[in-house]
Order: sequence, then structure tokens, then C-alpha cells
Amino acid sequence: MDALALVFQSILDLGAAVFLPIIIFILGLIVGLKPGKALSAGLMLGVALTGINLVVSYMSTTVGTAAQAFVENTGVQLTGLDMGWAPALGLCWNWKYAFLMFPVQIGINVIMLVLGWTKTLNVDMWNVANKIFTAFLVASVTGSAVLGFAAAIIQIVLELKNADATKNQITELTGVPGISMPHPMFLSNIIFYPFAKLLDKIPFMRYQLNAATLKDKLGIFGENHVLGFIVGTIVGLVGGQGSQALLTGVQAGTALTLFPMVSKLFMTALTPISDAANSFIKKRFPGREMVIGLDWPILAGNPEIWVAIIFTIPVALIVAMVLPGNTVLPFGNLMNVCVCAAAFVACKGNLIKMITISWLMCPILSWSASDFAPMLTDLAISTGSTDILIEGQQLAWWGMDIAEIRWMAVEACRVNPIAIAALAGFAVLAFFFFKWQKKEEHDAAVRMGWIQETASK
Amino acid sequence: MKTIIVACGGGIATSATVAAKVNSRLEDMGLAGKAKVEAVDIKSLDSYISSADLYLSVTPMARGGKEYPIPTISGIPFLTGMGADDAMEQIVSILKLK
Repeated sequence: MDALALVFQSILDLGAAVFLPIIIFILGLIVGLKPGKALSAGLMLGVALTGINLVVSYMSTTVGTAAQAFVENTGVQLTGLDMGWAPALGLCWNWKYAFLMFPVQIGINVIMLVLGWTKTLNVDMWNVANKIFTAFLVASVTGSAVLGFAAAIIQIVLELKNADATKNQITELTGVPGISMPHPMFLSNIIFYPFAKLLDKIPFMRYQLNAATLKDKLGIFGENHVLGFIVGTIVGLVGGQGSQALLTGVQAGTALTLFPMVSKLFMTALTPISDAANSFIKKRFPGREMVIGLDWPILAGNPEIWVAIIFTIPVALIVAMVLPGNTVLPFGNLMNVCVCAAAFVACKGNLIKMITISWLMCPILSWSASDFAPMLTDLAISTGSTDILIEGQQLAWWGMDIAEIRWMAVEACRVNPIAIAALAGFAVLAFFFFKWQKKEEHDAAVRMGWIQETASK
Repeated sequence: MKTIIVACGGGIATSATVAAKVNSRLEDMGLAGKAKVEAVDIKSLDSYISSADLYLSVTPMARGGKEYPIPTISGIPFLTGMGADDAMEQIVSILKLK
């Protein structure tokens, strides 16, 4: 028995890149994958985790070095480097209880389906990591993994409820029936939606810009390598690197281009498992009315999202420079879909309102990223790869999904009275939000001709 | 070897999910050597689309979206599971894989 414990402990000590492949392999066998496929999937997850570390380390030694020169030259204390959503969520899998979120998300979803509390079956496995991140944050400040999972469960329930409450509108936007969107970013609409309604009171806010034309002209700035080059070169120049700044620019472009290439391996690993699990669930509930919960990119064809994001980049960088208390340089997440894709739905595609919301969110994104940076840095170091960061540098995620809600929750856990009050206000707003969505859903159904205008009021 | 591309917001999650599913189906049909699906970033779609043979779109827009210079079919069935067999048949017939 002692020997077994010793073996188990030594595998744990090797870190998530060794431990998770074993878990995924076993999980794969349980849901009925062939041993070969299960082994391949499990090992791919280990490769993805190790790959993320590699690219984060590359980013730290190149862009990070330039950012430190920038700090020394300007005196602006931007010691945290934003790595973007893909590496940040990838890093979350290194949290020691991360793998438990799989059965928790699927279990809560199935229970809610059985009890008729939701119609959505969430098949988006990437964003399991978004619940891991919440649980990790809450566990870090409270010291209790149980509280972390409690917070994650609340998030899972709210995501499913929100997906149910907005599914007609999503169908109207995409033309695809039978889907909904349980992505956490849309919980931000509990705040964005009433705010967008308030903005309607300002006359010029209703003006419609042609996003498709703008996107054709500006789209190049949204390409990872181009954006990385521009930001890297600017940071290098201000850091006093001279012509070397051009090299920093190319390196920054490289980091932003390699992140997705490595991160997509997570889905290569997880898709066979989720496929098997979902067909298992669908088989058990034949005939039950179910909508399939998908990740946000189903909306990614809408040019408004990309134009709003690109228009926010200069503002985000300026805010980061001048905002007191900010320590994070926005970099990897500058293409900030987490705000703009949610605002797209809340503003019904009105570009001016989307940009307004996206600009106003910048300080909140900077402060929350600064607040969480030490925790993310500790997590990166705890993977055993202490050498992935250069001296004095922190890892951060600027523009994280539901930044404002997570910030309130984490600060409330720290018994910050303002955050507790804000969270209470948010709960009230959520109540009204779900009420308002009933009318929006009815209106969407009428516009699609599903029901007659007179049906109900 | 035919190249199929699928694009999403970052070329990371949704597109990679579809790519994994379609690649696995191609493998099961014994067509793994004839076609391959790659996940790409929609922001760089223009640079990938010219060298691809088929575009699997997961970004439907009710108001109508962009036109693409290569054959395009919906990749949504692979995400929802509904109609995935038909979509697979379409891929095979458009690319004349059999």
C-alpha cells in the first residue's frame, strides 16, 4: 500500500503534463474509447501543456525582456505580461484539482437536464477550463478547494440558465436552430445589456456604422503576427532597444502566432473524450427536447466584433500606461473577444455602443488582471517549470472572460465590503436581466415567424 | 492530398474541435491519406483559403456573410452532432475522395 502511494505521489510530483495524460487515458477507457485512441488523446494533452510552457517561456524571454526595458526606461510599472486567453486557460489545467471539473460540469449539466432545469447540453469542452480558472482563483484566496468548486458550480448553473434564456436570439443571429451559447462571456451581458439600453438614450449612439467595410480596411491589424509585430516593436522602441526593437516585434509576432498552434492541441486531445461522453448522454435521454450549447465563435463571422476589438487596442494600451494601480501590459489578449463578442449580442450589433462598452471596460480589465497576476504567476511556477519566467516578471491575463464578475467574487472572498455590495447589486441585476430576456426571446421568435405577435405579452 | 480548412475566432477551440472530429471520421473511412482538416484563425482566413480545397464554415450568419472563392459547406453539424453523417458525405463527394 505504501509502495502504491509512493508511486502515485511521485507521478503527481512530475506535474500535470504526466499526471493528466494518465487521467485522460483512464477516462477515455471508461467512456468507451479504444485503448489506442485513449492513449493518443491522453498523451496529446501532456504535449499541449508542455507546449504551452514552451511558448510562454519564449514570450517571457523575448517580449518580457523588452517589457522590462520599457519599465526601466519609462518608470511605468508594467511588470505583468498578458499571455492571452489560450495560454492562460491552458495553464489552468496545471491546478491540482483541474481534472475534476470535467465530471463536475458534465454531472451538473445532466442533473439539470433530468430535473428539467435546463434545455442546454453544453458540448463545449474548451471552456471547462474557464470554470477551472474560477475555481482556482476562489481556492487561491480562500484556501479552500471546496469553495472554489462551489463558485465554479454557480458559474456552470448561470451559464446554462443564460444559454436557455437567450437561445432564440442566437438562432436569429446565426440562422441555426437547436443551439444555445453557454459561454461564460455572455454572463457579462447581465451588465452590458441594461447599459446598452441606457446608451440608447444618447442620440448618436443609434447611428449604424458599416462594419464590413471597416473590417476589410482594418482587418490586417487583427492578424496575430501583424498585431504582435506592431506592439512588440513599440514596446521595444520605448524600451530604448533601437533597431533591436524590430527583432522584438518579429518575436512578439511569433509568440502570438505560435500560441494558437500549440493551444489547439488541447482540443485534439479532449474532443474524442467529449464526443464519447456526449453520445452516451444523448443515448440515455432520447426524445428529450435539447439544445446544443456551443462556444462563442459561431458568431465570429460578424465583422462588428473584430472592428470593435481593433478600435479598442490603442485605448487598452493607453489605459494600461496611465491607470494608477495597473501592473499589466496587455499583449496576448489584445484581440479581446471576451468583451466584444458579448457586447455584440447585448448591443444587437450596434458598433458605436459596442466600442463604448469595450473602452469603458478597459480600466476594469487592467485592475482585475493586476489583482490576479500573482496567483497566475504562482500557478505557472508551481508546474515545476520555474525557469519559464525571467526574473521579476509576472504572468497575467488581461481581458479575461467575465473579468468584472470574477473580480467582484474574488474581492468578496477577501471580505471587501465594496465587492460584496457590488455582488449583491449584480444579483439583483441578474434577476431583472432574465426577466428582460423573456421579452427579447419572444420578440426574436416573432421576427423569425415561430409565433404570432398576438400570442402572449 | 486535399486540404480542408475550418476557421474560428482564434483557430484554437471550436475549429480544432471540428478538425479533430472530421479527421477522425476520415480515418475511420480509410481516407486519412486523401484529405486532412486544418484549424485556422479566422482573422487570417484570407491567407489560408487560397491554398485549400474546401472551407468548412462554423460562422453562419442569418443576414448572409462573405462569399468564399472555394467550395464552402457548414461545419455546424459536426459540433451539434445533428446531420454530421450527411455533411461527411458532402465532403467526400465535393472532394471526390471515393
